[in-house]
Amino acid sequence: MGKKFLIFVVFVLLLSACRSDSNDTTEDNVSDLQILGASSSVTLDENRVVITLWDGENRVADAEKLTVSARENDEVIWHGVAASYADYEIPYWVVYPEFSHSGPWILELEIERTDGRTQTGTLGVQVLDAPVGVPAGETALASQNRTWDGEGELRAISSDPDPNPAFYEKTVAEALDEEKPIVVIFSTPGLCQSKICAPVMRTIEPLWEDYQDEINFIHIEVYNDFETLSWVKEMAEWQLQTEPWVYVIDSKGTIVTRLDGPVARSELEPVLQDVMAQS
Amino acid sequence: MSWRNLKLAAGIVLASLMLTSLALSHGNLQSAKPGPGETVSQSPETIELTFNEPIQSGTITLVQTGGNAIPLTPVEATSPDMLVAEVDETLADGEYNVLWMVTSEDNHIINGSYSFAVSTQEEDFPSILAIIGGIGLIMLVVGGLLLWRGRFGSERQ
Repeated sequence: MGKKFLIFVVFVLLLSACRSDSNDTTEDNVSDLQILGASSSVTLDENRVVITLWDGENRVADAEKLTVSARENDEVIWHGVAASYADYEIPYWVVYPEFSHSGPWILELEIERTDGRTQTGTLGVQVLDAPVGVPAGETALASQNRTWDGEGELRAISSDPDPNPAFYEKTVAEALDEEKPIVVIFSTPGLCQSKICAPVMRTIEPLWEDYQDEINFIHIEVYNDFETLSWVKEMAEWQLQTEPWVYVIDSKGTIVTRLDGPVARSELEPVLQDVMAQS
Repeated sequence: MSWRNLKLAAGIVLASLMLTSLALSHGNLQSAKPGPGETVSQSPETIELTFNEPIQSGTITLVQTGGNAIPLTPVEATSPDMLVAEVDETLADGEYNVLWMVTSEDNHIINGSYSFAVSTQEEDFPSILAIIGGIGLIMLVVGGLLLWRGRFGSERQ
């Protein structure tokens, strides 16, 4: 009887040990699930929030649904299901939360996995008072960006390992004069070292193949010099501090939308179709 | 049971507890002080974030849950993969959110966040549970050894 009682007591205590939380004070103390954002300019008007999910250094491949809430004073003021863009090299999610004011916000996320598990997490977002760079709604700047006339080395003005000459034929100013929609891409495809920025041109290339007759596509390489890594003047002109950026401009020269960070075909193509329909 | 065996059993229990608490990961944010989910017993003087690669620049924002932003002063980091800020005021007990945004070496933005808590009370409930659990494990080993000795002892008789 005494031994059985002892075993029972030990078992109960063991269970309590399994339930107890511990403060992890090891050097690498970040959990495997990381929720990362990739939006450099979130404002009340331009509120595209890009979300990527990581399991250590690997992307989370089995997220089925992502719901996001924005809370203010203990009250949920916005709640929505994130759009999934799985056709980019890093699958990403996008929400457009309706923030009530600028400043820091903590978005609450609920991730549903394909195996039925549900995980929760947060993503802090800094909602800026003013946008970084020329925002949507403004008139596109008539930049005199570098072009390639068929002579010399195309790679002098593009870090793309396999540049498409069609992206370097016109300045933005010339394209605006044609009164056709324009896609302007600020990026450095050859020097970007991550899957967030490098694949943007690989999204654009097939869209150019399908819409080159209706839309002008212009790639502006962000580096003027690949040794000193100084930026081209258009980065300052468009007031950009990061890349990549994809600008969509309508036939009247107005910036319809701009997307920073990852851009999947499934996200960009509907925007292009809308712009073409309105032209 | 001899004192030597008791120490051996306690050592085994402690080693197993330490192994279960090590969960190494290699995300973009590699480590943080205070750490995600951590409860600190004193208001931290700095927020220190270490990333898995060097960064160009970055910002840290500290917000009390349901409250306002806490003023921070950026501090020059000792390593290119670190982002450090001094906390300008003593934090009251409560939960705090660290919002970070960094520009990677190849110019794109990554941002994230985590929370930690400040509790200046001497002991919190989870810590007490951990101690009870630890004692429980030790008792399990000791109990097992006692049972083993009793069983084999009676067989010998």
